[in-house]
Amino acid sequence: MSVQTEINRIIAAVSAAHEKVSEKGGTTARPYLVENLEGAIDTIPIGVQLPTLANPGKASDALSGKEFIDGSGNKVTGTIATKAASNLTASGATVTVPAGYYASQAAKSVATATQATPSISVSSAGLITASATQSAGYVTAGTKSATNQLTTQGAQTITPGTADKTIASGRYLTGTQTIKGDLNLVAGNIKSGVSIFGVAGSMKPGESPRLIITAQNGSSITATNGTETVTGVVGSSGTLTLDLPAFGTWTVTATLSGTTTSKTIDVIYEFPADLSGSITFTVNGGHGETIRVYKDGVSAGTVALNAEGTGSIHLTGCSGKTIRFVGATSGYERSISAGSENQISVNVFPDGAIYWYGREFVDKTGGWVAKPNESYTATLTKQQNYMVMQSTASISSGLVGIGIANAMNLSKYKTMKIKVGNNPASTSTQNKFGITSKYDTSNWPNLWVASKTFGAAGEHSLSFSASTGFPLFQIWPTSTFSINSVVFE
Amino acid sequence: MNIYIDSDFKCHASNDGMMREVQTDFFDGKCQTFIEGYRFVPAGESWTREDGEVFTGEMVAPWKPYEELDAAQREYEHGQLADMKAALELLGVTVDG
Repeated sequence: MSVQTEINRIIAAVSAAHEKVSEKGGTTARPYLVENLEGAIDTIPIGVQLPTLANPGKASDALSGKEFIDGSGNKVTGTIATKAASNLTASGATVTVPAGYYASQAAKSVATATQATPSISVSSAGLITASATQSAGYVTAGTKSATNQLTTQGAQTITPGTADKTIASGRYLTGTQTIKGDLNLVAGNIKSGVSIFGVAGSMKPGESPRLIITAQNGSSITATNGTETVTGVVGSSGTLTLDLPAFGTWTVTATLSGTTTSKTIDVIYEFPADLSGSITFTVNGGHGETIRVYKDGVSAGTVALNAEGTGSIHLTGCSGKTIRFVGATSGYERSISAGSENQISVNVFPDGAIYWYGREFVDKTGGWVAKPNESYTATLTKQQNYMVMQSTASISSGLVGIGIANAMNLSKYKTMKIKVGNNPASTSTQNKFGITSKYDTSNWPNLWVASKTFGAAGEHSLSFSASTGFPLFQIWPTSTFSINSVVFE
Repeated sequence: MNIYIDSDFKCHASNDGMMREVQTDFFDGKCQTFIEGYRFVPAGESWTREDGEVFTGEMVAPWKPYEELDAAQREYEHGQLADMKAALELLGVTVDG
């Protein structure tokens, strides 16, 4: 063997040794020299490299006495105790299982008891009590029941008689108890001076109840006492006699052409009931005035009008009659025909007066104020019975308003009337009157609530519907004329 | 504006085919509820109220209580005003009140 061969052999062996060092986890570097081999061998780690634990265990994770190596390389001994069924304890309904390891299923029995049977009692006040005393322990599913039969009373009908009748106490009612009543138990069926079950009699011996009703020919009559009804139709004689089944309080209604009048009558004797033409008249006129009322020329009473100029009177027997209302300076007359309504409004305003709430025109400074168009003037003159308003110039257009300090309540009225006279200079139809919502000289044409045009002398009427106040009624002349009166009806 | 009157002279904002058209400026700017609470009797014609009173035209008069019509008109005008304010605000104009 040559020297070179031997050198090559030694070089190869040193390289292999260095590479073995690297393989074993040591550190080495080229050139692979003999003198570096010892140091490289020193870098080889001693022992086995354990893997890194992501969830290391601890002593409480292992059974008592078992050993293992933790993530730090330390020996750990387990602490979990081993248990068995003998370790379980029971107290009442609770079973206690101590912590530990059970190699197999563990069970513990609890005490048992028998389900109690209830007893039932009923007190004298009807209170039913069910009670049971249960001993402690586990009770298996099941039903225990008890019964207590009450004394019963079935359905029965009791008819009052001369002696008291009773239903015994302490009984459970299994059916309806009916105490008979009788529709004939009314005062009119019992002799006067006699009382039956608290109903005092009112019948006079030898009489039967009857109504003689006066009404318009053809009127349908219905009489009822709340339980019985008797009907009939008035004939050409104008009367109808109804035989009633009993005395007492009867409501009689007469109906003709959709109009109905009713009256309640306490029938003791044969009783005439005049339902023909019963009318309530509402009278509107001068405040504080007394209106005389006549029926076919015969005095039928008076109506005292209040401070607002209203009053009322109820008259019967008006059918076919002429009713006349007479005031201080004017009157109102109306003939009542068959089928007239039973409420009529009557106006008895004195001629020529301006009325507000029934008060007469008092004074332009204290009540009425003339508000002339700014371009024209107007005079307002109160005469004894009427007001005259005249423009001082011929007006082709313009507005003269008569305003008041406070708004008028027009709820009682539905018509405004003016009387125009004294030479209206033109028959222009553009003269206008009406009521407005407020006084505004720049915006009058748009504030009319209701308006009416006119072009001749005489009376002109405007219909309206309102219930609150308007501060102004206006007359808009396009010609010169006088206003004799302004009236609200 | 033009409105329509029925056989009882009651006013309507639209025609049901059986009404007459009349021209009047009384209802300019008024809402439908206001218009339909009125009667309009043209000049030369007459209307008889249920109590027998006769009224000749030209007459414009409410047949519903005026308070109801006035309340409806105010509500209508408030709505118009609110719409105008909303439109102005869309244009970036701030309106006080």
